[in-house]
Amino acid sequence: MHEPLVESSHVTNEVEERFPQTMDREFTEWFQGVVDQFEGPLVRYARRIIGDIERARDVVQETLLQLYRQDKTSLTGAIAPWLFRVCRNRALDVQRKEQLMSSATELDLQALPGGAGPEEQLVQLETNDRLLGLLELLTANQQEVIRLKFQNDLSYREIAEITGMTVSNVGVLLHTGLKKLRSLMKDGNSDE
Amino acid sequence: MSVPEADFQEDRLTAYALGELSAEERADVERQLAGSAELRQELMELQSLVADLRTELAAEAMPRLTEVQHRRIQTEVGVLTTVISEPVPLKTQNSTRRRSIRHWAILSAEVACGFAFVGAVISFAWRGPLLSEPMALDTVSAKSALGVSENRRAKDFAIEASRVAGPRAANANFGTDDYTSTFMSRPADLLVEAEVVPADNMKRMKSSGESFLNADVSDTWHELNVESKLSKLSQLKPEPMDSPDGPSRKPKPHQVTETARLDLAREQRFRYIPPEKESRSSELADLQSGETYQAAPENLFLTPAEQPLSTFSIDVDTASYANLRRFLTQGQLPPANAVRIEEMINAFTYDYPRPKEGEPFSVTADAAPCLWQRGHYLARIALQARTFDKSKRPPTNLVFLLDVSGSMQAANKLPLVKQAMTMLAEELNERDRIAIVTYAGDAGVKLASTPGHDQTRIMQAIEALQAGGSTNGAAGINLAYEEAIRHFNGEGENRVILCTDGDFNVGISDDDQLVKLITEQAKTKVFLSVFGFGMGNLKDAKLEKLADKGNGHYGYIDDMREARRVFNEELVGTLYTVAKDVKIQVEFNPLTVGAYRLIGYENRALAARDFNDDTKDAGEIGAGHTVTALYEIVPRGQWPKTPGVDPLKYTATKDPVPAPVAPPNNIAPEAADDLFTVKLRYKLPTADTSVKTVDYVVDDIAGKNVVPSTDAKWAAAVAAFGMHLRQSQFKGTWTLDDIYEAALSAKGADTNRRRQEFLDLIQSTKRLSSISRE
Repeated sequence: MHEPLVESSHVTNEVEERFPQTMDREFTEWFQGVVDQFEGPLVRYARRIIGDIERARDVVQETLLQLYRQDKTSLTGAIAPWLFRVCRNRALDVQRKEQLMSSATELDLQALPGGAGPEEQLVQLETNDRLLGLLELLTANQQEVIRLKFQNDLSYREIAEITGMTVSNVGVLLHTGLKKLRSLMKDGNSDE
Repeated sequence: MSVPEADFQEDRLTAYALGELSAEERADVERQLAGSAELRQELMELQSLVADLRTELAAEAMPRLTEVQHRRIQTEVGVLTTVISEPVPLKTQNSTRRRSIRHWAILSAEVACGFAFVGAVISFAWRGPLLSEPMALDTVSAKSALGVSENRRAKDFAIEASRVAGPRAANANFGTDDYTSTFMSRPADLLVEAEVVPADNMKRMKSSGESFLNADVSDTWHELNVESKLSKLSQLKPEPMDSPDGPSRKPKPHQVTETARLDLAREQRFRYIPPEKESRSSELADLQSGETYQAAPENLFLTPAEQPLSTFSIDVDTASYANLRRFLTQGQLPPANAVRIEEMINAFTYDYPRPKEGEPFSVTADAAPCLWQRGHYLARIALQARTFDKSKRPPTNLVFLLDVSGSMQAANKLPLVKQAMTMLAEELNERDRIAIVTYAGDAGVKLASTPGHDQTRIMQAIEALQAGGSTNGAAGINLAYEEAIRHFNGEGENRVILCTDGDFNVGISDDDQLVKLITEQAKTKVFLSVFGFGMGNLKDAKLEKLADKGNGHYGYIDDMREARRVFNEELVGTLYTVAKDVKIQVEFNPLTVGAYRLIGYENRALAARDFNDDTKDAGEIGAGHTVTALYEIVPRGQWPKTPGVDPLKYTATKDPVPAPVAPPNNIAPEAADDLFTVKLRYKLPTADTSVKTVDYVVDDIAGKNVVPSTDAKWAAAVAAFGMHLRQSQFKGTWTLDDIYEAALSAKGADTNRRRQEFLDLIQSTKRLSSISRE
């Protein structure tokens, strides 16, 4: 069902991030490269889902370890969607458990979507003033798709793979999300 | 597909903007776009939102795992295998070291990869920055802050690696020792490490640059790997710490096999341009993309005692600004050579006096304290061209020369060209003419010169344009000029507008020949505008040169916003030349000026004698354009900065430190307090001989309480930001925060919001810099 996609970034994703079908040692080296490149984006992603930096880090650590333990023959295709998908599922698991355990602590966690150090809080403050602030007004689904697309440069198809939606669902969500953002921006501008 | 019918159209547009459609679907959307201004507006808004989103999202905090977690993973993996866990004499703490070692394997591979390409192409790329491109390569828009941080880390790491590797590494010098800066001279050692992560390596190259590699490159890598495996252990043995510039030995044959070399040569799209030693930042970025930028070493401080005259051509281009905005918006710091400060400054509008009746432009100049360096002055020379009322503009004879080669297919290239052309065509009337010539394989006239009011025919021709084929620039250029000359309008403006990504690859692809062709055609009094589109294989240097030689103007268009600005809002200024070959000469007074430095205009410098030589080509100025040039001036009393060496005892040479200048006898007493005098020469658009303006004198400001005007402050902030991006040695004491503060205070009315956008760019840079410092 996938048509050949045109924008070159997809070509990139398809060709570049294949799992190496090689010996153990090379796999290890390759793995370290993956850790290096993806730990940041994954922690950022998981933290959006869970709301807590430490739990997000744990999720990412487990995701990466799962990659290492994975039966290599079962790994085919691009690495990024695989990582994000596994990370997402783990994060959702954690979040579900948290919600069952206590709603009070959960509230705290939601209120502080970072547990960030002063430096990070500064960044938050700087960027929150415009689009990121508005982004918070979209549905969680829309936000997630937008972040996967524009923050992590994944294609519709890869996002579908990660979230379990259909490709056209992803397209519609992105579209409605962007449309909402634009109308929110227009409202904001007319207030100025 | 199961998309709801109601959402179909808009949904498609989003997918189109994001490059998610098949070629067929895309063509369909383009047809609809051509027919609907509303839809084009929609697309433009969408693209600008997406660009903003990318910027802001790229800047979101991206914490990494903790050190404990890293160790946990490494224990599990049992890494730090024998080879790479060998002690390496680094003077860093343990935890850092582990991380460094880990990076070693990966990052050195990346660096080595860049070097292999250098190795393959350096022999012929070395002499000139511009080379023919054997393959038309489509671009990849792999962006994200990630790419940048990887880049940066690769560099830091490479520097560290070279420190460790010591003199052994110097073996694989390519014989271009002249500019092999610290980390650049070690391809062999770095290459040895390349084997460990071929796949990762490829990925990195792609995600951080903008070119893509064919899959067979990985084979190339494996080939290299086998070769280097044997020597790996010995190569990695710790070497005593040594000076990073250890003794340079004779170049020995590189370890790349001939096959690999050929593969790499076939793959070549990394052209190496000797960088300035100071600005390392640019090198990897340049190597990893197919974009080429001409190195332009910064102007240095000169003393009026030795060189009282500073001569340069004006430059009204703004391409560099649009281009670096594109980089920053995508979460990447631009390569230093892509930053041309004068083009940044001139991208903004300033409030300069209008020219007197009958004069093409006004000239003003002033001096004020320099904001980034205490005690220095910042002098400003400003030109303001006269303006036309849009409705009173002269008739126009336009020939669009469009690159429709395969590489123009991307959504931000030909489709954007078509939208831009449609916008422009809508402005034309019965006094105007427009023609369309394409080049790709065979050059052809797609629309013979047509009166501007025949909108249906024009729009149909625009709509029918399609990309495909390879590029024969020369034939197209000839055809376009022929078409323009056939309908030459003696009363109006005659202009060829070249829209391309610059990838000429069939026919004349040699730059010198192209430039010669353009220079020849420019004698016909048909002006040339060059617009660069797209990204990834933008041949910035080549396009600027073409526009320069063709008596024209070079712009870079990255999105609909910029297209609208250039083709619609600035149509008149872009198209109507009010003066050509405009040269500026400044004479500095050695009695008041210790040293001066022209900021920007590096590739616009002229010899002092060229000023009065009417055969020497210089820049054009269009209706409504403003041109600003800045000089940083060190007052006489503060120069020289450092104590010079003692006078030589045995050799009678010129004193290395310029001796204090005695006042010349012939200086008029009233001129003794002058700082400098500005002179300009220019030609009217159809004239062959030039006119000189009245001298403009600026007095010394020593001891006077001068405050920079708002516009002067703005220009200073833009210049300072440019110097920051170039990592200039002259950037002074200002931090990005200082620049931001100054710019904010000088923002003024900012009716077109260009200045606000600039402020946002400073913030993005700040975030990107902090990410890459991580």
